[in-house]
Amino acid sequence: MPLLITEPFRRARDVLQVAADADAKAIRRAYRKAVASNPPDRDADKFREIRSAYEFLSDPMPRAEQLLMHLMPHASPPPLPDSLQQSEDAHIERELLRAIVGKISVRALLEELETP
Amino acid sequence: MAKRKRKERRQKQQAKAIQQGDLGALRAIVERNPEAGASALVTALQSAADPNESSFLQLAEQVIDSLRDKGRHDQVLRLVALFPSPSTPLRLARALSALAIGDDATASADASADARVHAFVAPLLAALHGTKIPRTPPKAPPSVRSILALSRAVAATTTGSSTPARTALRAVDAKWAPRLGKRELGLVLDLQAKRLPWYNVAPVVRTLLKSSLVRAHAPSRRAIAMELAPRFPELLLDMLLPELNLSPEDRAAVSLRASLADTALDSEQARVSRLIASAGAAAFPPEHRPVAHLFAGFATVRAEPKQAKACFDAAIAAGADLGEALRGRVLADTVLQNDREAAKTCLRLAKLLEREPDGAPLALLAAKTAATAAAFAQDLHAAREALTLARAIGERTGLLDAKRQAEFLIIESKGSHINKAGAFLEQAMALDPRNVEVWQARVDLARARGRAKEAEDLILQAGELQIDEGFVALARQVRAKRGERWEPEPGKATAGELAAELYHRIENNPDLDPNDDLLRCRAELSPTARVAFDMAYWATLSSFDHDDAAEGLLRAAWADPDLDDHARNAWVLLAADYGAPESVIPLLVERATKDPNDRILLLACGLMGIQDKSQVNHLIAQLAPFLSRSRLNEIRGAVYRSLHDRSAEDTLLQLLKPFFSVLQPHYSLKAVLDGEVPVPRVYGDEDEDEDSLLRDVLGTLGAPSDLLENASLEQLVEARKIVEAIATAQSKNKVGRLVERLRDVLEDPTNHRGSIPF
Repeated sequence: MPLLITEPFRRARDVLQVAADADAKAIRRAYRKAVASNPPDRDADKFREIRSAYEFLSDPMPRAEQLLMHLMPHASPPPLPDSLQQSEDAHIERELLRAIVGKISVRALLEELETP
Repeated sequence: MAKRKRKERRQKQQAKAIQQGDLGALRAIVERNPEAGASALVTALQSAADPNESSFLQLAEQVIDSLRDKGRHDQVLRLVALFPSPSTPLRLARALSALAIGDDATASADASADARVHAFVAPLLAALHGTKIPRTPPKAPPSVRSILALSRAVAATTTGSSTPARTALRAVDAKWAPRLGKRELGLVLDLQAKRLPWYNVAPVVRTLLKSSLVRAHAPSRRAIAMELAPRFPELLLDMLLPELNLSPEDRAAVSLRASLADTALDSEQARVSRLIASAGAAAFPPEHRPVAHLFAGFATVRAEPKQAKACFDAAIAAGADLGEALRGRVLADTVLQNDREAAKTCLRLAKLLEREPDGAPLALLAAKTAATAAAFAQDLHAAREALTLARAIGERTGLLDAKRQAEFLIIESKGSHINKAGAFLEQAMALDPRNVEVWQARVDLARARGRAKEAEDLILQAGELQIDEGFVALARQVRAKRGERWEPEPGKATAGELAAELYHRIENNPDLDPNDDLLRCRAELSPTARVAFDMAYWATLSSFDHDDAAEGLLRAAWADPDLDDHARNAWVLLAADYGAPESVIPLLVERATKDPNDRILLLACGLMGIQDKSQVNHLIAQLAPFLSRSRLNEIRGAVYRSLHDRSAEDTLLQLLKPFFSVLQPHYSLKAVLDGEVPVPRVYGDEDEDEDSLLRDVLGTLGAPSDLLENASLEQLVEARKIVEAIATAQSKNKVGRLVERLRDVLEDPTNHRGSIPF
């Protein structure tokens, strides 16, 4: 299995459909070809993907440095066991609503309901 | 004694009367003390033949609001439960009290049993449960309409839709607004706004806490703390937590949530990592354990590198991704300053990556990192082995450009004997003469050889090249020390140099002689540099409160027929954001008369609105004769949104970018506009000590007095940045972290490692 840290390189190569040992010329050629078949006015998202893959492969060192020094694993985190789930959401508005209904005067509410 | 006996006798009589359901006695107690009346009523009802007797119902209705107001909801529920057929007021009271204490099932049962109770309770239940809020019935009284509006606002807030929530809140009837907490809910919306600036958090929370509704309701205060914990952990822990008056359990839960939201690792992945680290990989099933070890290791690598290293070893043993585990080990050894070990592991990683089809750039970098670590450990053999691998990968893949070759030579120089290092650096200079790291290594080497003058000369040469702000600053210090004076030369002086010199000339006297040499030099600048210089001139005049001169300059700049659209727009927004409104308003009015649909005018009004809304009203009044009503409304909208919408500020920064960079590194237009730092002279001041603050901080921390003399340029530049951050840090924790970083930066492996006491 390929090492996880190399995944972004493989994904970028897949987008441009170039071999692992492709040189700068081949990358440029593949980029032009990919842009010709996916012009930005037809599919902006695809074009952005192609552009970012090209930028990555044509100058890989800055991204490689980020990948190497990243302070997190290049992997998806494992699913948390139930004991670690922290699903508590802070719904201030709901708590506030409970505080409000605790204070409403029943008499005042019903007075209006009974007034024709 | 007689008095006590009389009292006891009366109490006995009262208890007997209650037991017998004596309505007169009960009424007297209820009127005197509703709470005691409620207890008496409960006792009486327990033995009453017909609890539904109208007199009992009336008495219960009489005490119920008082109990609810005091927050005795449990007593309300107990009392109403004694009536087999409670009246509508009693049912409504029970339903509302049940909602208040989270017993939604009881509330729902009461709503189903009575249509009038349903009218009030159904929308509240829907809001709490996230279900559809019922429609407003025709001819509904204000109380029902207000409850419906409140429920809609709460439901919208829960889904994060602040605009519908605010719209719904507006429908709450004015008479009901205070009782239904309209103001408080508005503040909650402010607090939950994604773009809430940190400095507004404490005022909003404190206003909320002034409300008796929030003050008396612990779950609301807890929810406020929980909302703030991941977003503003330091502000909450350092400042607001005591004011929220939480129970010890709630404080612990809130503190945990805040500590999990470390600002430096503020991502979901980081949060999960810290959870995994605190629970340990053993909490995971075997199939997820390898990756759990990795996450636990990375989460602790900075704070507890030894523990992290053990996690990475466990990850390797459990069959985790070897690249990630080795990478983690290298990071842990680096934090531990175990350079020899880091070099060994990193070389192993480089060899592993080299075998991967997509691994070449990563392998090259890993080999370079291994060489650096080996050079630090003075292990020349290991450094050479790693560099040989790096060069081979670079040559094979075409990644070995001049910059990289120069970097490899610097590493080789650091691992070599001091007498041989110079040769490597000369080679690196020949390959990449504008490489900052090469210059830095040359300065460091000269210092290490005790050649202070040579080091200073190198700094001056590097400063001349203007390749790095740090070198420019150091060159300024060297020149100041040598007593050199900068003279402006037309055609040679840059806009930044002229602006920096101008700053010092007009500090006391705003009027420059028209024949001033600076103005002669300005005429030789390119059009962009000239505009940048004028902006710096204006910013300097404004910063010294020479307002009349600044206004005159602004008018002259705008009247310049050669100004292109970009510069003109930049001027408009700059003046709207930073200028005196009375000087900007006439110019904006003039602009509006030329083009009523000017987009920049809209942004300028937004920027003025941030500073002073009343001035914008003044502007709008002046614009009224020229603009349509819809356009004026558009401007009002832009002003209204200005506090939350950053598009005007972003546009201004975008427009100013070219002018900022023209003035760098001698004059920071942004810093002058924001009043942050005084501008240093081009060649520095003789008595200037750029590091006085740094020296003071280090002295306070008890660092060795010669620490800075031995620091490299890179260390000095980094240390200055940290000390500036310390000066503006908002919390003790932050200062602590910065001091730790300062120590890490200044500790020199060849000199002071381990000797800095703080």
